Amino acid sequence: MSGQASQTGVLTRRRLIGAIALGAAALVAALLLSVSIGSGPPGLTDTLSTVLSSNADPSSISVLQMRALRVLLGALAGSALAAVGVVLQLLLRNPLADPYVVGVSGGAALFGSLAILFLGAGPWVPAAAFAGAAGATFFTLAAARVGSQPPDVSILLVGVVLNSFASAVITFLKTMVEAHKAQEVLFWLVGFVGYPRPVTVAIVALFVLSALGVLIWLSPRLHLMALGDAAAARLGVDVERTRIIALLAASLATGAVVAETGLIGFIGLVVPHALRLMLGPDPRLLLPVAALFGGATLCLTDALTRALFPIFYSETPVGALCAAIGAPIFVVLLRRHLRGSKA
Amino acid sequence: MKQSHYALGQAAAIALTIGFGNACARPATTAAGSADNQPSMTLAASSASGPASNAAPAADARPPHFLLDRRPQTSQRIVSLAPSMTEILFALDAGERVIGVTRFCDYPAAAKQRTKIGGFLDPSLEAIAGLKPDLVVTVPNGSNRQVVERLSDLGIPVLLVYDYDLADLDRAIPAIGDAIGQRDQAQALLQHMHADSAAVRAAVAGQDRPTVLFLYGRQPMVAAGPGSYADALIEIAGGRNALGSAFPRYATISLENVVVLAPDVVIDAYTAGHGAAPTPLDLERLANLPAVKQRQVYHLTDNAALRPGPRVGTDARIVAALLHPGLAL
Repeated sequence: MSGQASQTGVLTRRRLIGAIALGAAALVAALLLSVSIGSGPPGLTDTLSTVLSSNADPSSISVLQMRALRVLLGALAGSALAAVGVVLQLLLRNPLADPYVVGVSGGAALFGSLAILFLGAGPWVPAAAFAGAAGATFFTLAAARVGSQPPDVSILLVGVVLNSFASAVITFLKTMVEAHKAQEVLFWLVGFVGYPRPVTVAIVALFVLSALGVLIWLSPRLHLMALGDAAAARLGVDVERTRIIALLAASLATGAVVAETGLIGFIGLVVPHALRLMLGPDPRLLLPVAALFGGATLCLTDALTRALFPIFYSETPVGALCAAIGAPIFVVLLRRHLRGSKA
Repeated sequence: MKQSHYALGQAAAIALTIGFGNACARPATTAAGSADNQPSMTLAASSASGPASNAAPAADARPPHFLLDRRPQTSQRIVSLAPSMTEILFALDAGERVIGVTRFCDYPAAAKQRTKIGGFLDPSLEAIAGLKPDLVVTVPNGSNRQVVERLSDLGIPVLLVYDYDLADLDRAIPAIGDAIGQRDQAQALLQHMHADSAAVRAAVAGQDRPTVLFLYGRQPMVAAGPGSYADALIEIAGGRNALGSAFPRYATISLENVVVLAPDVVIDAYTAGHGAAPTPLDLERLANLPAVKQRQVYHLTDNAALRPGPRVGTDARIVAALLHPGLAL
């Protein structure tokens, strides 16, 4: 990978600060732009005047407040998913890892489904989903300790099996309930951001930001672990502990996001790859920048779903739109990178 | 990590989730990997009761009501979040005051010209709020719940009405009439609907009562069970629903079930309202079905019979014409 030599040179403080500043600017711009785009007023042209004018229409202000909460939740979800994607791809040494691969999606979906079907919709449903996510993570970690496979392979296998099992149970449950309820479940399947209450956003922010803090604190150790468990251990890293803490933080962040937005795919898988092509694999750089750009990406895509409302009078699910737009962009990036490294 | 660490971690996780759940009051997403539905409920399994939510709460348990008891001051700018509600509003002479409808609201024709605010499961909060409605009428479901709650947070009165069966309609129409100041029209509409149904009942009295299978969908094959609107139409039209009381309101059945049930008449509403050419049922495998032998397999093209509402008399008459061909109605 000779083409990467200039990218993966020594990580200077200047480079780190520059990249983070760029990411932060992108996020702020994305937030401001997203809050100005809606499926109803105020729109791009009158958001600013609504905010600044002293006798603005109060219902427009209320809508703006609700939209702002949606934009924030989208940014939090996107940053969590992208950052967790970076960490899992590194820890599991697998480029196909995404935030859901350690069983988080299966656990959250299964417990959330059970709650909806047997208790009805209500505040216990996100709690159940989150409990499922946390439980699945613990189960994966515990189960992966058995056996002689290297831990990254074990965790991946157990996670995949857990997701399959949960999926089978959910499919069985779906066939037992009324057809229109099953359609509602399908509708939630693709994931969307919605209009959360302020308290909800605060709680998700608490989980996501603390998890991100922990992961960024661990990033130097994660960087060394890329050399292999044995080499990292010789350099003083407590590999087992680092791996467990990182996985727990990742799962808590993902669980909080999934409980509120469902399974928004693509961001956690592809944003890390796209940034790695440009910045190299060092998680001390990649992790914070992925968080910032992941947040920007999801909230802009969510804004796009609102902007496209007048076409079919429905908002495209945000995960589908992410994939539809992001996949071609990613292919272009990948080709440019491959061409570069052949030179 | 030691055993005690795991226990501590799990306790912490439980504490966190309790706190988390209290703050987050949104129905969670549920996810499974696959979108395919390959149900094959045998008759034995179907007679067992499904999860609690499969059975509809009794009609008494779902009266129309205003969310948070907030009643409308005026009702000049009404937004409807369900096609059945749109039909009722227009039937109550309030069509001029309806300013927002779903993209599925296609009856009466004037409804198609109103501003579209999204779908039944996916209304757009901002599109609705942008119309500045003074009343929103909706049929509650798990998917539009969050939007309905936010509308209420914005101070907009929301009337929650159910439309699963005729008993619901008997309460829905007066409630809506009351909310929009059209009480007399509501009473008149109800009387007209009852008289219409009674006329159909009278016309088919004394006729044989064929068993009827009413299909909503193909994959999965969903049929109308007891408590559904189609079930009510069948009963008025002088038929018997092939699905007995053990079945849920919308039953997922298989080809095997159809053969065992051996209905005299099959009404297939699979492509109703979509304008697509009807896909024929797998009549080769069903050649021994009474309905096939008597050539009483019908495809509905109009989606009226799928939508509970003021047209119940007309809908029942359509079904009666299929069950009793040649009878004057």
